[in-house]
Amino acid sequence: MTKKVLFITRSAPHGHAKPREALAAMLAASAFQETVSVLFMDDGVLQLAKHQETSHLGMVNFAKTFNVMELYEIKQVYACAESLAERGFFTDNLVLPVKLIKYPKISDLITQHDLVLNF
Amino acid sequence: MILHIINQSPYQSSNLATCRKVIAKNDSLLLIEDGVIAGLLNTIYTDQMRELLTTHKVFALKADIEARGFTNRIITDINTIDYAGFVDLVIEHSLTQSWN
Amino acid sequence: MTFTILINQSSASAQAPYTALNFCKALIAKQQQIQQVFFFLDGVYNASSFNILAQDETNLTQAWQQLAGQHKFELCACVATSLRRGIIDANEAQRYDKDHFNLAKNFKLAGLGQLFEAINQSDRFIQFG
Repeated sequence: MTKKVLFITRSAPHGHAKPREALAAMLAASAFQETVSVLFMDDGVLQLAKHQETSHLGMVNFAKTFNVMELYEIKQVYACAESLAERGFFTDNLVLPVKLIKYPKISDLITQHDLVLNF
Repeated sequence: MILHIINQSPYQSSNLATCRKVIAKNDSLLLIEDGVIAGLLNTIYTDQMRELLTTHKVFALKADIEARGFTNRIITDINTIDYAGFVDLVIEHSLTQSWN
Repeated sequence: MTFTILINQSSASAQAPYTALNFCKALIAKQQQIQQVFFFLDGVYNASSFNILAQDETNLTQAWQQLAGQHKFELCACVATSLRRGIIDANEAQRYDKDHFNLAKNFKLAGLGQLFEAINQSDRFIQFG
């Protein structure tokens, strides 16, 4: 049995390298772990915003790669409902279908896994 | 049983606020590095921390308290521990959640 | 118990790698096993032998080399994040036609897969930074 891994990503895109390199880690994890889940929360939900246009930054638009997660068998993708609402976003503004989860349920989600990686 | 770990100042990051929303019964909180700032007496976070202490165990790393000159300035109900105590906490809890 | 440790920050800019080292020393003092220390994101700067510090400062790269040498655990720097930050070994220097390489002894460049293999063999995982 491989360990059940939960990724929690809480940083906004582009301002920091964390979210982009976290995506690489998620995809790598999926090759080794039977269960890989991802939770976008706090500023991390902004990684999922539609219509990101990074060509003027000279940086990679990694949000375009989020849709490969399903191909990599990462099927449990969550976004914190309050984090989205606090930032004026709704699920139809997002590049991915996500399961919404509220803060008080996040502890349960964590304990359904063996470990958490935070980026 | 989750060991929540905070290593940043509550004045700098939302980590303490987020952790307070997520932390469940039987979970504990460990303050390390700049996270020990959340344990200071007489601050705008002291009441929040005291409230958390009514339901949860809160620990702080002694080396980080001393390094910052915070000895005698930390809420007394917070348990101060050394690195060996840190290891014990990680062993006692089934997993760690680092709110970095 | 067996532990895998993840370090995501540089010792030049954050305390996290120092905390990680002190934690690992405490693990060893308590007869616990370290499976692997994996360096990711800016953590890979800890794997550079080109870090030069003042005499009164702890050189973390050397401290890790020493601890890992004595207690036989792996020091892995993520290859993708290392290349992006100019941390390379002799093989990569040859591949990319660079005159020098800087990966410190006892460290190795590793894919993220090796982190997950270590995690699967460990009882506990903890990240610093």
